[in-house]
Amino acid sequence: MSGAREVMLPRVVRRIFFWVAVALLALWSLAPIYWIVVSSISTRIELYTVPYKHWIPQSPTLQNYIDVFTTGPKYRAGGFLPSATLLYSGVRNSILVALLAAALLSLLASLAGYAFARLNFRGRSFLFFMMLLLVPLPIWVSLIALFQLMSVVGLIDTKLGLVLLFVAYGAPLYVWLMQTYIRATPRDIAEAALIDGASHFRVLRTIILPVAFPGLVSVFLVAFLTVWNAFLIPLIFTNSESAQPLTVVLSLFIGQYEVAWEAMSAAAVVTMIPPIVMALFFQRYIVRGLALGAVQ
Amino acid sequence: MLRIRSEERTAYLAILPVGLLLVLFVYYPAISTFLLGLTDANPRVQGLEGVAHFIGLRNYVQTLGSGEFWASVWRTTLIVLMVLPLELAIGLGAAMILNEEFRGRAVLRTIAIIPWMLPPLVNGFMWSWILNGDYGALNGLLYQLHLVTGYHHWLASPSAQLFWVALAQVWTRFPFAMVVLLAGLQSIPQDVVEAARVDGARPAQVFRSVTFPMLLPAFTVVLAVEFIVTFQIFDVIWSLTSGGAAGQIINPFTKAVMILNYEVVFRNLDLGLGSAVAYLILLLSMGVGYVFVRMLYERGA
Amino acid sequence: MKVRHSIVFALALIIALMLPTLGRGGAAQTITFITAPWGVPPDQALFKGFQDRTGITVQVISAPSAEMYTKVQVASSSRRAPADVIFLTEEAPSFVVAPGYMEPLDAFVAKSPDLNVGDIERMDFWTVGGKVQGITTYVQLVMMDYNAKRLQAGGFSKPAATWDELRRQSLALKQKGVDPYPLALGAIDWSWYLMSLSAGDPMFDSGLNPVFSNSGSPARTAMTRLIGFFATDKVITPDLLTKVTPHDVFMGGTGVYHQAWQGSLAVMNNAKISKQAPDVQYLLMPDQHYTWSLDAAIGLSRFSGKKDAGWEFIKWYVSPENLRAIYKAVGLVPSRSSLQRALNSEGAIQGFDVMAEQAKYVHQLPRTAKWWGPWTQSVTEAIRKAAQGQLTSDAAVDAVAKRWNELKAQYKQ
Repeated sequence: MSGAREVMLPRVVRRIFFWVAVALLALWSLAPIYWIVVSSISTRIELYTVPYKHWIPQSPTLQNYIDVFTTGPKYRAGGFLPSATLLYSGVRNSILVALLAAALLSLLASLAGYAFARLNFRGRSFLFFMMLLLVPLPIWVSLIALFQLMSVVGLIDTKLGLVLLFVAYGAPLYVWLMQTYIRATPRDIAEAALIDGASHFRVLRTIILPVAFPGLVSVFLVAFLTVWNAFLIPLIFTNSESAQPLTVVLSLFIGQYEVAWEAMSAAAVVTMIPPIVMALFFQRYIVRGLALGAVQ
Repeated sequence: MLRIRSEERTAYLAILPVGLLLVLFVYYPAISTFLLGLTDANPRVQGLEGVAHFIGLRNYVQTLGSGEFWASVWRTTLIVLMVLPLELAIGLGAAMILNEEFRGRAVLRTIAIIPWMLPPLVNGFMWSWILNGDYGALNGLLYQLHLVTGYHHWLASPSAQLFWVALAQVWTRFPFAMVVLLAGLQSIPQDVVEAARVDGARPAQVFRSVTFPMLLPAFTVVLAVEFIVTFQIFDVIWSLTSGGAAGQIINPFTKAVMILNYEVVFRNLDLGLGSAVAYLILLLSMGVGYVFVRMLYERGA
Repeated sequence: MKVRHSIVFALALIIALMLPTLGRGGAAQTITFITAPWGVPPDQALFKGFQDRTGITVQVISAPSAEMYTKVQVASSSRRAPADVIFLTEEAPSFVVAPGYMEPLDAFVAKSPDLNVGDIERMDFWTVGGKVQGITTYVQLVMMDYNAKRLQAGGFSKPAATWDELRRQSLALKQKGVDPYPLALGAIDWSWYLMSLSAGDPMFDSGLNPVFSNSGSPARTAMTRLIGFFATDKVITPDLLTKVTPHDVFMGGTGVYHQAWQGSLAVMNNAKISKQAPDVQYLLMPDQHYTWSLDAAIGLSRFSGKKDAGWEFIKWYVSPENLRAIYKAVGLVPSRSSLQRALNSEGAIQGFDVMAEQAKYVHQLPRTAKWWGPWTQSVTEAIRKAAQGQLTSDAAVDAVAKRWNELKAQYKQ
């Protein structure tokens, strides 16, 4: 490292770089999404145009949304189940299952994460290892034994069954994450409280979690979105609109001979709205957590 | 009678719910499946009345000796090598941007998460339409900007197929890295960072010697998780190069390990062999993941 | 405080979720029907009529066909019914019938004269191991179609009668600028089967031996031709190297000739979704004209507990009324010969004449062989590798013949 001081980039230049980075990030994230929205208000023929220049569709149509919300597309795809029913139940199921699974996961991960991070007990490393051991196991072949188990317990085609599966298969990762976040919190206040006679649960609740709040929120968010996007488990373990989430419903737009992209994109736009609302809602809590953390 | 300390009791209690769920829904089927991998189970060969035979580790030997298996591991490795650096770089960069205070931060944060909200199946179809060589949007854009003179068939060559699979995966997964790393950044106490800055360190130095080391645990989690997720990539490959309509055909050039596993289990109905492949995938993922974790924990300590 | 609230909240949600399930199981008889999306009964009024009349409620489970088979296999492997009634597409023999997941229907057919099974075509295909495994719902020959107007723009008034002629026409169309990629055939097994069969190669003999690998066979020529289309003639768009079917390429406006299906005109001539409308017509397969068929059927799950109710639904599904509704909705030609004739006399079936002519030249592929499914994967892989120049076309044919024999040995044991 050279002893001489190098000139720092002038502030203005640094600000410009920053805003360019912001713009790039926004563009990178949004450009394909913009195209999905455009597709959803285009007709199929327009999507086939060469050279494609319909960044703003020539004759925008809401027909795809109407189709998706009413009787469903009448071409050789999407089935003839009233897609409005499917879409509505899909959204409902996705929200319920994702919310409950994320809530349970946050709760259980906080508890177990705290134990692994701060408590001493026999078999700690062993249990931690065992918990993470099967995370990378591809689920394919377990499906059959799992299906048998779920049938016996009567959890096939139920939202509760889905929640339990997501919690079981997701827990290891979130426990590990919470353990990481909790480890990073300062020990001193917690130790003081413990000496004063507080129980571990109390310490967790009143001291640790407020500081690790951004971590907890991110666990909730990650869990929510992961469950929201899940396809294989719901596909195998649900059959009807009582439990089928959106990801499965959307796959019905795959026809025998082509993918009804204009309809699928309309449905996709609709399905992105709840998570976006969710994420916007969470901004507030992340900021609040920051404020709390700063007070420390 | 062993005395369980109250701290231990609290710990076991805290872990109990997770433990129960894991034993019931994860371990039990996994063990049952492992036992299946020691047989030659194949419903087509045995039919409903037939019985599978115990063959010990023959499925494992067969897989380890199979050129196709290793070719698929290699392909998957290529995808991982393309995805991980890019995804982590973008995720970290985005997290750092969002860690700064600026107007519109909440909006940008929401925007940056949107790629993750797209169901993986839809993600694959979207890229397949964008990349379409005859009427796709990417071609249209480049043509309109006069960057190309004719339409290009982006997915024509096997290596191009792998590349675009990797890109689509990076695009849809980077928000995960971003969110986890952002939370990690935000839990770094500001006083340490401030102290370093006051001492006259340049931003790059601050990052290297203060920020990144404290970010290491979160970074390790992201690296390990994304390694496993990418190694087991399936949906994007399925809808980008194999899907589109009924009777999906598995594209040989993008046959990653999970696709191979799917083929063995659901196309060939070779349940015993499929279980062996799955467990070998587990070993490979675990092996590499463990190496990563050790590497980073050693550095972090 | 917060922890306790979350626990209460979670419990409340759990109870809320469980309540609906507790009130289940009230209907008189409920059966489930698992199908690909295009198998869902399209006429809601008709469907409801059936359910009201018989008191059987039918719950439809719709899934894209690959996912449908995954569901069927997972459930059946654990000896549970994926659904009571199962829709069988042409891949079903290998995936679902061969492992024995379907209930033989002979007894049901025998006691149901109202089914009028003689009117239903291609029942022989669904009779496996001497037992009827499904009732045919629609018939679908693999055919080819072409855009007559664009062909004419290239100076050809009639479609090709031989493959050589088709090749010459494609090259001419490309050169004249009518279409840079005049052929819409996928780099998939189907293209090769179609070209081989129509060139007169029976592919397999009665002992299920691969005669296609005989030296100088029409199938070898077909493979060389197909690979040539991609690699040297470049008359097929490179996008078809990865796509599963050529249909959206053709509908998007690329291609003059196209590998299609019986009933495709209804889709290809639909101006809302196809740029080739309304000029598309069938052509009789070149050379020896042979092709094969992809009929679908409907059957009962071996593990169903409601077989009688399921059978009633099956009978309704293949009734003339429902089959007619299906035809009107998705253009799938009904399996009942009487209905085909009726529809044709109403002028409702586009291109019926060519269809009828083509129907005289059907040579089935042995899809009922247990190892057919795994084998087709190897064919597509070989074709794709050859199209990328990694294999010669003869090596590709040798490779798939070898794979056939390997699989045959494995399964026959």
